[in-house]
Amino acid sequence: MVLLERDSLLASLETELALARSGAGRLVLLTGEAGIGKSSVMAAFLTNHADDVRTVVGYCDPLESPRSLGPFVDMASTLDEDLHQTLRSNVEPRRVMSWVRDLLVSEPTIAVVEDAHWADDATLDLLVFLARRLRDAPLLLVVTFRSDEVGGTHPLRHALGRLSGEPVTRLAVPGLSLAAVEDLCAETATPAGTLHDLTGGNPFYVTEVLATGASELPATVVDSVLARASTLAPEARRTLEAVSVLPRGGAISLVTQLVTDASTIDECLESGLLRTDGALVTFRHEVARRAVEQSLAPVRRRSLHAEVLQLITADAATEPVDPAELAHHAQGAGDRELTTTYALEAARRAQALGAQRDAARHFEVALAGLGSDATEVRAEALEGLARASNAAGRAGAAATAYEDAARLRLELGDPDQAARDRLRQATSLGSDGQAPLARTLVDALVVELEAGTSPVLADAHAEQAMQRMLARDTGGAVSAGHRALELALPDAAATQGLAWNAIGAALWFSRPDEAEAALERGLQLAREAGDDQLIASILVNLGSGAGEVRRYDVAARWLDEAISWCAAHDLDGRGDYATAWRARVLLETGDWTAAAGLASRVISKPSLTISRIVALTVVGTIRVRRGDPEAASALDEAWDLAARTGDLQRLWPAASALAELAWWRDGTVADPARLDQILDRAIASAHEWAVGDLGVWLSRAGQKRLTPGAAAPYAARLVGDFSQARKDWIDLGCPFEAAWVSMDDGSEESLLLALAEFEELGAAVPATRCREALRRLGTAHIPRGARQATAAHPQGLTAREDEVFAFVREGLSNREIASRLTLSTRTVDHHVAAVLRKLGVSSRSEAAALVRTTNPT
Amino acid sequence: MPRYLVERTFPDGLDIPMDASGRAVTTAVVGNNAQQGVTWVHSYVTPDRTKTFCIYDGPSPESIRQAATANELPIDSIVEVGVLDPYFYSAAV
Repeated sequence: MVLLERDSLLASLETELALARSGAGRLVLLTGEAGIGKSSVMAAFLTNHADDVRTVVGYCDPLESPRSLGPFVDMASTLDEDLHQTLRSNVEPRRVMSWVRDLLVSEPTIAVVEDAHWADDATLDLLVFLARRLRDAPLLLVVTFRSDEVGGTHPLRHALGRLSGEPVTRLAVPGLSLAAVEDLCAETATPAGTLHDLTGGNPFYVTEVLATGASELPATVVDSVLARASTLAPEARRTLEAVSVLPRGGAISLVTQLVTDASTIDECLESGLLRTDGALVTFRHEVARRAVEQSLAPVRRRSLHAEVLQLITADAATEPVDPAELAHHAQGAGDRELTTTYALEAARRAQALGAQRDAARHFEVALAGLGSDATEVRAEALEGLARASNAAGRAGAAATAYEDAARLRLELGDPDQAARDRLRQATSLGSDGQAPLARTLVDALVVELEAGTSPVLADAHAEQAMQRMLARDTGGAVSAGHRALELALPDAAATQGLAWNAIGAALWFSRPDEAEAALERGLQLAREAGDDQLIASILVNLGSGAGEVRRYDVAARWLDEAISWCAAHDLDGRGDYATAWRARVLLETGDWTAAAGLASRVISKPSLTISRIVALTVVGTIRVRRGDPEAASALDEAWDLAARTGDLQRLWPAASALAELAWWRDGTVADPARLDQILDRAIASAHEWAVGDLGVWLSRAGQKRLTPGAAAPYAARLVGDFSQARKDWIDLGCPFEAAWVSMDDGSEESLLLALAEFEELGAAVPATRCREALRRLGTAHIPRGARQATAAHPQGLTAREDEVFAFVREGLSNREIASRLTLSTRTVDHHVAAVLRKLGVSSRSEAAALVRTTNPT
Repeated sequence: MPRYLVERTFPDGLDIPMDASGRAVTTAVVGNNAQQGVTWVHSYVTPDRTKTFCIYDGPSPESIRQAATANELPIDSIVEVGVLDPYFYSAAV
């Protein structure tokens, strides 16, 4: 087959392959509408390299619930039989991810995943895993998909979003030009212009129309396929229909059994509607297969599916079939019982492999077939649906399924399992943002179970402890946590780990010196239990808790570990939260450039609401202080999101940041009533940092409020002991807060100090306010402020000038310096002149004589 | 993507020679900008070349600052702007 107008695409692929072969792995996304020729381009490319590089292809299925890990099963079947068998069993996906990667990078390879718009979640996770680990791998990974079918909420779009920051090349396959269509029409009577308009240059569509040879052009591509199909003899037409119900085509042996006369297969092959590679018989294109399948009369379609099902299950001993396919045919055949059986099997497999959306769908299909029976099978299916829904991010659906399962378990006489389901219903509600309802449920469950000996009671107390910690009910969290530990079985490591997680996190806000030890106990237990998510949660709490109480060294250490752990295990949600908190710590310790960089990264990708709130507050605060645009929009969004959570630890920083915005703008405190309300919450939770911060804001607003237990620097500030407050902030490592206290102090000396420190931090707006205050005092000489010298250099030299200066001091001539730095002599002349000017000297020898003070940082 | 006006001060006067080294400087600037998704549209310069007012397109104020740091360019202020042109209002139809 001749490929028209694909040379530049093939050339781009060659470039990518060259890069990959040199050891820098590449991900290429090849996109285009159906029929545009993505597979043809890839086939040509792979043929060109069949002899010099290893090539392997995997296909995603055009099924509503495809084979989990389908394309990688395909790849493994040609490369590694052990892996092939392992992938076909219900294996834990993360265990095989490294195996797949090692296999694909063991030698220079082109690996293609076709039709990723149909990819299941397990495949998407594995693609993300591979794409993040391409450095130093001689692998060209090509993923093809129909861009027009991948909208904003499509799971593939979400997976690609997780790869922001990785090197990805996007290649789009365009339609054929009019000239190319003219070429194709050359020997025919079909008018090229009309055909090009009709088809948009879509190669499949064009060739379908030309193959029918009709004088009147069919209106749609489906029409043209069906027109071609109608040219077949009736028996051959029936054969075509039989193949159309096989989503990935069928083995010749299978197709032979499906039809009355095997020679009709040849007729279909000759017509070009079907193709074969020797082993499989397939349609030329999925578009054609669908067109024929959809055209089938319902009864005919059902009977074909039933026949296929019978044939493939008969062969099942020698040739095991993926349960998703079995379920597909059973459903097509209208066999309710078999559909349920296979759907359950497919669901379990999908769930084990992490294809959660598909697992949920299969469970739903199975549940539809199970009606309202009070059976164990149905209860298990409901619990499976709930687990899959949670993992697929649909916590609301999970809560409902757990509720139904709990009721059913009671009917079945299993109160312990019913209690477990109700507990999970509550955690699901929590994930769904319905914290108050979740708390009510858990509290009720604890009361109910407390009297008896349910094994679920310990877990219920642990969950209660977590909920109370998140609500900053410190005392309640610690007591519930200890009760959980009392009741937990000795080997229930996960339960104990969760309890210590809650206790330790809560201790940050009441007895912070004990928090780390408690959380580390939880960490050890979580490692024993092998619970990756719990480990992540505890690492994050170690970091964010320390950060919330301004213990920055501890916070930074644990947050960095949390970020590493989450990256290694692809736990994006918690990883982003840890990153946002790392940014917060950098903000409060005065490294605003790094803080803005990390926070921007979190904001620019889809992330949990809590991560977004923290990151937006950081970025917004930095913009306020620098006088940069979009400060209000960031902080307004942060506040809206925070208000929706209703949690003290979200409301307080967002409200404080908005207060700061108004304060630097016009010296007023915006919305003191709101700050007052949040202060009430802070006092109720005995959160010394929130109490202090909000108390100071209210005193700026001229409102005297009792602020029991305010943290030391705030307490000092509130009684007017500015020097103690400043000392406290400096000891904590908060340069901005220290400068702010000096500014509030208001004397000329402290204003000058504050001005210098604000300038150092890049806080242009507070610096301006300082200057205004100094002018009002009538101060004689107000420093103009060093223009941001390029790079932090004492004499204001740029990095390049610094380099040149070093050579000047060694006595090199301008020509020699130019040659050392590979610059033109004229450029060096320019730099030397600038150096002399900045140092205030008039000759090289004077400059050389100057001893350069080393940069203090 | 927002448009920003960036004010810069060069106490010694900005000097980008109209030759190969100057071209190298501007090419490097464009390259560093691209890393941050920032586009330098054009700049207005005072006759003594001590102040410039530069028009940039970029995703955020932080990206403008990162690019400026990479290019060793000072920033006095960043303001978000839109375009207003007298010809929008001419010849009422």
